[in-house]
Amino acid sequence: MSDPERWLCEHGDYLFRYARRRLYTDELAEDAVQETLLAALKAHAGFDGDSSERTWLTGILKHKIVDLIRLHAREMTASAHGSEAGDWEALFDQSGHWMETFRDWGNPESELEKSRIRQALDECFRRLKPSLAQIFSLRELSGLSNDEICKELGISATNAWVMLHRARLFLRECLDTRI
Amino acid sequence: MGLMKTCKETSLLVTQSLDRKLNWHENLAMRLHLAICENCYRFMKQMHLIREWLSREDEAVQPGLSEEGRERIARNLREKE
Repeated sequence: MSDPERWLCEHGDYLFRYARRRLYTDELAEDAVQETLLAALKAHAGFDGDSSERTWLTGILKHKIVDLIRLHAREMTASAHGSEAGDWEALFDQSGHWMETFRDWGNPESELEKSRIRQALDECFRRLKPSLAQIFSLRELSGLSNDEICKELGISATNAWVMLHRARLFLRECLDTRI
Repeated sequence: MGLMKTCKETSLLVTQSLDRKLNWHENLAMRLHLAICENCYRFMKQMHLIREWLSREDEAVQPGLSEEGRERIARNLREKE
């Protein structure tokens, strides 16, 4: 068995789950895994043997995820402009008060409960509009700074904040029904 | 710019505080509002909880690669080798 085939066998599921959590379709996550293994094949000499093979591959995958989001970014930001920009404002009355009263979520301690919530968050993430999912993923799941995000996606800082704001409001509302 | 913010303005400051450092004036205005508004305080708590929960890397329950996906990748790898 060649190296890439063995990597796919031993780490394929792990890499796919890692990518799936940060990309919004399974196809994109599969692409990310494939690109990672191809890049790993080319950079084989770059594996220093100090870290585990999985850590090395995950390091490559992180870059591939950002690359893929950037690659698909243009079409998505185009659809994010204009029309729905004000949708979050409907959450407030005319004097700027919340229309809704929030519940106290508490802070679940048990591992089972935390695991369930993490899964619910994944589901909610995948229900975000792609334009919001991509920026939220870069910020919150890949840990890029706002400056980096603006460069990657070619958008203004204000635009980035508003999109992140909308993504967070959507996730809050989605998660609220699952807690 | 006054220090008295509406819930709407405060909600923007709360989420922005997760993405950038607020200046002292914004920070003070946010804190003043959070001190007197329970709903915004809960909102802020929830925003921080979401970030905390997202940082968990537990994957036990997630589906792995599909058979078709795995085969497609294997095929493409063989071609490129």
